[in-house]
Amino acid sequence: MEEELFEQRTDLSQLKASVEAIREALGKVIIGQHEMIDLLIAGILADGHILIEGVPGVAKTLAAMLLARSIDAGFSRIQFTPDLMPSDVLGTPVFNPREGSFEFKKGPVFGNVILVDEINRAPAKTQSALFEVMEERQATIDGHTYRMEEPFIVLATQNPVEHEGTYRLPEAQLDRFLFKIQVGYPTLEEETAILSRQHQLKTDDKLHEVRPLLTGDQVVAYRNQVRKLFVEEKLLEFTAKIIHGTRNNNSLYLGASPRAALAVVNSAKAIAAMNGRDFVTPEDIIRVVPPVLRHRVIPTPDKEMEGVSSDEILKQIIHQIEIPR
Amino acid sequence: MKTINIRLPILLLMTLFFSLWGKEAISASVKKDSTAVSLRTFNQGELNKYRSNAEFNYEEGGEDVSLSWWDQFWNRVWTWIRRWFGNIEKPGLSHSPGYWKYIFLTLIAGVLIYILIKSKGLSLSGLFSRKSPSIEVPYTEFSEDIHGISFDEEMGKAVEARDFRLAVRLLYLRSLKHLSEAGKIKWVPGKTNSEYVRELRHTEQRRIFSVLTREFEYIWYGNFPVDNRMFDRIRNAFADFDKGGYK
Repeated sequence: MEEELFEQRTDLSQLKASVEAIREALGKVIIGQHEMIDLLIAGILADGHILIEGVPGVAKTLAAMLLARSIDAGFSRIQFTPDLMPSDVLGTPVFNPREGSFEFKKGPVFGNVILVDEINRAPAKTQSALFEVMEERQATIDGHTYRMEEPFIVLATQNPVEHEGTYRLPEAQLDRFLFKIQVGYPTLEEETAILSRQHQLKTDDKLHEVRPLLTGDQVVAYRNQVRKLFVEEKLLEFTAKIIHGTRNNNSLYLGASPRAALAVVNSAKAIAAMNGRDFVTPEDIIRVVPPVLRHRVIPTPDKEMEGVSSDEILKQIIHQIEIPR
Repeated sequence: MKTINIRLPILLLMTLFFSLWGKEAISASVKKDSTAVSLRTFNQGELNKYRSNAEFNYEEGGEDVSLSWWDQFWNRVWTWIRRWFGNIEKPGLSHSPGYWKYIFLTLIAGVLIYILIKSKGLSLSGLFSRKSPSIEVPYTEFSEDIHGISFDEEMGKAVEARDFRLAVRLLYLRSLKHLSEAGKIKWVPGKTNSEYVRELRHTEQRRIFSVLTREFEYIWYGNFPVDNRMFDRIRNAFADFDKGGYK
């Protein structure tokens, strides 16, 4: 009915078709976890890096690898370990005896889709190697600045339960992740379906079931489309109120940054585009607030002791703000 | 076999000889003690003097003033505990296990922490539950109450000013007000449009209101232009919903 009334100002049909294709491809391998898959796609469309957190065995790494595989672009995987050095990530100058000079040998971070597995296993020194790369899309080594190729996406995974041999990610680095996606256990039906599918397939080679569906250039083009979507002034004010609410809340020790506010708006645009709309609604904003803000705010020690999660505080903040209509 | 028979009596004889010789030697070395023994008795005065000194009084029950107030306190506690629980050994001494003391110290510390937590108004339920407890956030941002808006007057003004976008907004808010008054939805300014749609139980009512909601969203949030013709069509759709929608 509304399609007849309102003609879209931006043609999002191709973007929507690509999103559907990725959803379908990932859905063939990963049972359930629809929210994770949607947020992964939204994160890519919003030009952000994504941190996936979940207990072992909930398809974090598999999802990240499948998503990377669905994009026809350079893929690197870095397994973070306690002895990993910044040069192992960024690269290092190597002496060329024939030329008599040093040549920079690029590290695995010089790719398009970078999967950082178990990111919290590397110490702060190595984590800091990602700071400039993630925010400015460049790496400065020995006075030379090397630009990253577009699209540049960091997909990182971490396990929240295991603390032995892990390091807490610095706040500055957490702020560089657009989303922190929390992956939970599958439902009983999903668990049964996982077992049934595995039993029928009798194969572990799931990765090859997903073929590249998007080119790097398409990702860049879709991002440009998403960036131009319309956001009503009142919704910007609504977002600002939520962010402001996190800074004036007794339950939060650290509120959200202006970068977080921008991230909320960009992600909401991506969600709107995925739904074929060229404008943002309050629900798009509400949907992205938890994954965008949960790793950027810190509950006060007393709330942490009570077991109150960031998500719960954010939910309450949103419910206390009037929906602009 | 023969040699063994000869050696055995020889060995016995030698053993007898040396044992008798040694005995003779010892008895020869002991001298007779001829010292005169004088019987001595305790000085009763000195004994009484010591008895009157508290430092030499080892009897239990009496308060030992030489102990610190902390030890005196524990002595009293243990006397009281023994009275109630029987044969629990006295702790603190080198020969008795002191674990009872630590159990009671832990209990006292626990009670103190509990009082401290309660006095700060904190809840301990989260410590034993994986589920995040709900909290009240003292932060409100409500400015508009649909029950206080004069819709006919405001809509007349909007149509007159050809502000159809605002007029559609007022139509939508009026529908929300009617639904709220009919008890179909619970009006809360912080609820989203979809939440209101989901609250409607009647399937057809939910379908129509869902369409109206999307039209409102396209116009209000999407800033889509509304002309006179489109506004009339939307107004009629809202009017139709108003006629049968709230039953």
